[in-house]
Amino acid sequence: MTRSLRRRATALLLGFVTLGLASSAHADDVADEADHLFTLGAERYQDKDYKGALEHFLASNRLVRNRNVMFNIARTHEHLRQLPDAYRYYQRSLDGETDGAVKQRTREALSRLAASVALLEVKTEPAGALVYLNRKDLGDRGAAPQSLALVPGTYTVIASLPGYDEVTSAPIEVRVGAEKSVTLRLTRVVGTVRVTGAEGATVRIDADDAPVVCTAPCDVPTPPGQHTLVFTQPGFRQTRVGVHVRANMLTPLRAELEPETGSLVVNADERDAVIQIDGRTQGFTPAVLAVPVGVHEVRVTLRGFKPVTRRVEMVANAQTDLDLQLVTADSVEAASRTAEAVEDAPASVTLIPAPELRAMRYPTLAEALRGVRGVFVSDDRGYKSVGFRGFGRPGDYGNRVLVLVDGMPTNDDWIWSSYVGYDLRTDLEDVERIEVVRGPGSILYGTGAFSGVVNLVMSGRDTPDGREVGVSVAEDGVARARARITQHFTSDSGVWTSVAAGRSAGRDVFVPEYVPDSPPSVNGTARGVDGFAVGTWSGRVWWKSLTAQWSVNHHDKHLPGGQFNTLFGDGRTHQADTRAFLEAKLEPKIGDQLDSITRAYVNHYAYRGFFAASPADGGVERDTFNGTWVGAEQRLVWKPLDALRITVGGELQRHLLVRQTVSDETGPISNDDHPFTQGAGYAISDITPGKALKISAGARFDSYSTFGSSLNPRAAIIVKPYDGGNLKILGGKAFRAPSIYELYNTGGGGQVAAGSLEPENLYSLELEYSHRFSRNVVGLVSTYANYIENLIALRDLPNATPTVPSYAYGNTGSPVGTLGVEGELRRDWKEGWMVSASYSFQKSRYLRSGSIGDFVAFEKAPELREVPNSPSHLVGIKGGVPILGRALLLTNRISVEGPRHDRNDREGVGLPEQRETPPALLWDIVFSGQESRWGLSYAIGVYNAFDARWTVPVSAEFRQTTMPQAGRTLLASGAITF
Amino acid sequence: MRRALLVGLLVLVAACVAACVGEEEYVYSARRYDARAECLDPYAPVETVPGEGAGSQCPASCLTTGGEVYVTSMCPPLPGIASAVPAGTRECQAALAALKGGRTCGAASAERGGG
Repeated sequence: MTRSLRRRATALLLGFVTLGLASSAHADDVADEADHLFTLGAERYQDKDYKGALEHFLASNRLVRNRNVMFNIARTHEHLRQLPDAYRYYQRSLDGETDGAVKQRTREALSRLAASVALLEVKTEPAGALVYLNRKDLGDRGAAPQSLALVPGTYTVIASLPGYDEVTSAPIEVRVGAEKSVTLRLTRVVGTVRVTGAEGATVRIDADDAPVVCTAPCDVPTPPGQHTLVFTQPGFRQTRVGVHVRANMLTPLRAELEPETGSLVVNADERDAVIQIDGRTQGFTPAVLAVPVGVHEVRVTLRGFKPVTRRVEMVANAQTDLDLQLVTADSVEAASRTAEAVEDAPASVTLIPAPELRAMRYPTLAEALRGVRGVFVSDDRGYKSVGFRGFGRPGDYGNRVLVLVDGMPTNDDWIWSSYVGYDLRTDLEDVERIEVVRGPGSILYGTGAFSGVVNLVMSGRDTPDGREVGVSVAEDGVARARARITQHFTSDSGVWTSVAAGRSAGRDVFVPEYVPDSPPSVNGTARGVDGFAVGTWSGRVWWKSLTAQWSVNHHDKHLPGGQFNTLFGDGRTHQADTRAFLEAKLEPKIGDQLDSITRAYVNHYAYRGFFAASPADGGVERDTFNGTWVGAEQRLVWKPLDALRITVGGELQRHLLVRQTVSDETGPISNDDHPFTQGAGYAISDITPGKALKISAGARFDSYSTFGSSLNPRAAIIVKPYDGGNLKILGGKAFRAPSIYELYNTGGGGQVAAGSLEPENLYSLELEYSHRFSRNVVGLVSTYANYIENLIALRDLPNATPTVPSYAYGNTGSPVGTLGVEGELRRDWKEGWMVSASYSFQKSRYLRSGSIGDFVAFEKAPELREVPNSPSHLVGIKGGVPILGRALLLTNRISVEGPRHDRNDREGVGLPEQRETPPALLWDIVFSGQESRWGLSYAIGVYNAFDARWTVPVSAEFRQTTMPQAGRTLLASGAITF
Repeated sequence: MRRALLVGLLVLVAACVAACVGEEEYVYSARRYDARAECLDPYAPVETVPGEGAGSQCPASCLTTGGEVYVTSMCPPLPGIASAVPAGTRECQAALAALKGGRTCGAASAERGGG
C-alpha cells in the first residue's frame, strides 16, 4: 500500500492523473522492480530527460503492464515528438479505464495528436486477431479492432488468430491527418470429414443438440482435432463416431446405423415359402425376422401357390405376427389369354401345379400329361405326341394340339407339329405350372388349337434371385445337366436364363417284323440306334411393362423303328429338330378401363432328317426344312363396366422362308420354297351380370394365303347355382390349316404334293359341372360331343402299285364323331398332401356322313373300321404324402391306358386286320425332397414300376403297326440352388 | 464348403455324362447273286459295320459271306463276316454281268396308306 501511494504521488507530481495503481497483486520482486523503474522514470521525466524516463517507464511496463504507466509512456513519447507511439500508448491506456476524468483527458490527447499522425483503423473478422505491421517479428500491435497511429508511409497489415489462417493485407499508404481503414477476413483452419453410409441420416458435430451440419452422405468441414460426429435418422439407433480431423486434410468416415427393429413372426400353412420384405428375400416360412421399424411390404411366395402380400408396421422392440394361408394357384391363362380362375375359364381346364412338377420330376411334357383327364400320349421313338379326347391319329406329330410357352405357340410351320418330348425342352425345371385346356381354342390361337391347348407357364418375375445347377437321369438312359441364373436388377426389372443339355443311349427296340430280313447281329432288335442329344437355352428378361422371352432347343434323335423303309438297325437314320423363338411383349396399362398387349416375335424351325436306305433306293436320303417367320399382334382389352370385358385384336404373320428339300446320294429330288402370309382378327366379349353368371362369346377370323380363310366362334355360359357349384356350357369351333408338308411336299418314296386342301374343322359342345366340397376338394363331371370334318389324311393315289407307291394328302369324306364323359375328384396340393383320381371314357367313330342325323345316331361309316389310336378308357390316379415334411415326399401316379386300335382302319377284302393294343397299367413312384439350408432338392423314383409291356399304334410309315413304349425306368435328379 | 463340393460333384457327373458316347453302326447291304438263275436278289442287309458309312454309290464290287456271292455299290469297309471277291473272278464277273443286265430275281414291296 505504501508503494502504491508513492507511485500515485509521483504521478500527481508529474501532473498526471492516475487512478489506483495496479491493484492486482504482484509478485513482490517483480512489483518492486517495476515500482523502482517507474520511480526512476518519473525522476527522469521531472528532469526532462525524456529518453531516460521512457527507458524506465517501458521497462516498468514490461514487468507489470499498467495503464497509468502507459499513459506516462504516451506522454513521454509526445514530449519526444514520437507522436505515433504516443498515440498508440494513449489508446492502450484507455483500455479498461473507468475513471471518466482520465478518459476525458486521454481522449483530448488523442484528439490533439490525431492531426499530427497517420491513422490506420484495422478490423478483423472475426475480431480479436493480433495485428502486426509489415513483419511479425517486430511484435504485435495489439488485437483488432483498433486504430493504429503511424508514421506516414506504406504498411502491410498482418492479422493472426489461433484456429485461422494468417492473413496479410495489400500495402496501404497512410498520411498524416488522414485515417484509413482496413478489414481483414480470416479463414478458419479446417479439415474435411467425408461421410459415407448412413444415407439420409443427419450429422451433428460433438453434441447431440448441436446444429445439423448436413445429411449423409456429405462432406463436413470440421476444425482440426478430435471430434465426435453424431448421426440421427428415424428408425435407426443414434450413433456416435469419433474422428480425428487433420487441418486441410480429407478424413473418410463410413457410418453404419443399426436400425431399430421389431420381431416379425411369419407363419404359413406351407413350409419353405419364400419371405420377401420390401422386395428382398429374407428367409423361408416359418421364420422370426428382425425387421426395421416402420411400414414394410411382406410378400410370401411358393411355387404353385398364389403370392400373398401384406403390409406390416413394425414397432421398435415389439413382436408382430403374420399368419398366412397359402392358396393353390388355380388361375389359368391359356383359356382366355388372361389370368382367370379355372372355374371362370370358358373351357375345360386341368392344371399341373408346381408341387406336382417338383414331386414327380416329369422328364418331359408328354410324361407330365400322361394321366391327365382325357389326354393320352404316344411315342413312335421318333417323336412323342399327345392326343385329346379320343383323337390323336398315328403319325400326326401332334399337329392338332397347340403347345404354348407362356402363350407363345411352339408348333412348327412345316407340319404344324407340336413338341412334347425332349424336342421341346431338355427338362421342365423352369416350368412353374402346366395348363391343359381341352377343346377348341382357335378363337384365341388360330390353327393347331384344335382338340387341345397346352401352355407351359414359365418362371415369373417373382422368382427369387439365385443360381442353380443340377443333374438328372430319366427314362431310357437319359442323362441331363443344367444351370440357371435369376437376377433382379430393380424391383421391376430382371432376367432369368438357363442352359441344359442331355443325351441318351436309348433302348433296344425289338420289332418281330424285321427278324427275317435284318442282319444277323440285329435279328429284329435295333441296338444302340435309339439315342439322342438335346440342348436348350431359354430365358426371360423384363423391364417394367416390357417382357422378352426366348427359347432355342436342338434335339437330334436316332430312329430305331425302321420307318420310311429305312434299314432297320442302321445308326445313320436320325433326325434333328431345331426350334427357336424370340418374343417381345409390351403390356402397358393405359387406364383403369383399357389394357393393351402388343406382341412381336420371330421364329425359326429347322429340320434335318437322314434316312438310311439301301443303295438301290439312293442310299441315305436327306430331308431338310427351314422355316423362318415373323409376326405381330395387337390386342386391346376394354372394361367399360365391371360386368363387361371386350377383347379385340389382330395378328399378322409372314412366313419368310418355307423351304423343304429332299435329296439322296444320287442327287436332289425336290426343292421348294412356299412363303406365305396369314392374318387374323378377333373379338370376344365377356359379360358377368352377377356372381352367379358369366357369358363369354366371340369369334376369330383367320386368312391364309395358302388355302383361304376360316371363321371360328366360341361361346360359353358359366353358371354358379350355389356357393361351390359351377356349371359350364361350352360350344365352339376350331380349325387346322393344311400344312406346308401336306400341301407341297414331294419327297422320295412316292409322295405327291396335294396342291390344295381344305382346313380341318372341329365342332364341340360340352357340359362340365363341378362341385367344391371344401376349399381344396373338388369333384367334376363332364360330357361332350366333338365332330371333325375335312380330316386330312394320307391316301394312296389311283396309280399306286405294290411296287411303286404313290400317295398324297387329301381331305377325307368321312367325318369323325367323338362322344365322351369324364369324372374327376381332386384334393389340391396342401402341405405336401394331394390326391386326385380321374376317369374318362370317349368313343370316336368314323361317321357315315356329315349329316346331323348320322352324328346324332352315331352311325358308323361302313367302309371304315375303328378310329386308330383312340383309347376309350383312361384312368389317372395321383397322390402325394409327406413323410418327413418337405425333406421326404412320396408321390405316386397310376395311369391306365386303354386299348387302342391300330392304323388298319379300312374295310376291304385282303386288307390287314385291325388289332387293338393291350391295356396297360402304369405305376410311377417317386421320392423327392428339399433341404433348405443347402439349397438342395432331389428326386429318385421308378417310372412304370410294374414294367408293363405296352405298345401304341404307329403310322403307315412303319412296317410294324405298334411301337413298344418305355418299360421300367429309373428317375433321379439333384439340384443345388445357391 | 459342402455346397461347393456338391456343385463340383454335379458338374463332374454332368461332364461324365457328356463323355459317354456310344459308337455308331450302320447296315451294310448287298444283292445276293443266284448263280443258278443268273440273277441278283434285291438289296438286303448283310451285317452291321462300325462307323457312319462312306456312302452307297461306289462302283459295284463283289463280296462273299456264308458261301454266297454278293454285289453292292456300298463303299468299303466290308462287314467283318464278309470278304472281298476280286472283280476278275468268274463268280464276280457273272454277278456284275447280272447287275449290268438288270436281272433281278425278286422285287421289294412297299406298304403305304392308312386312314
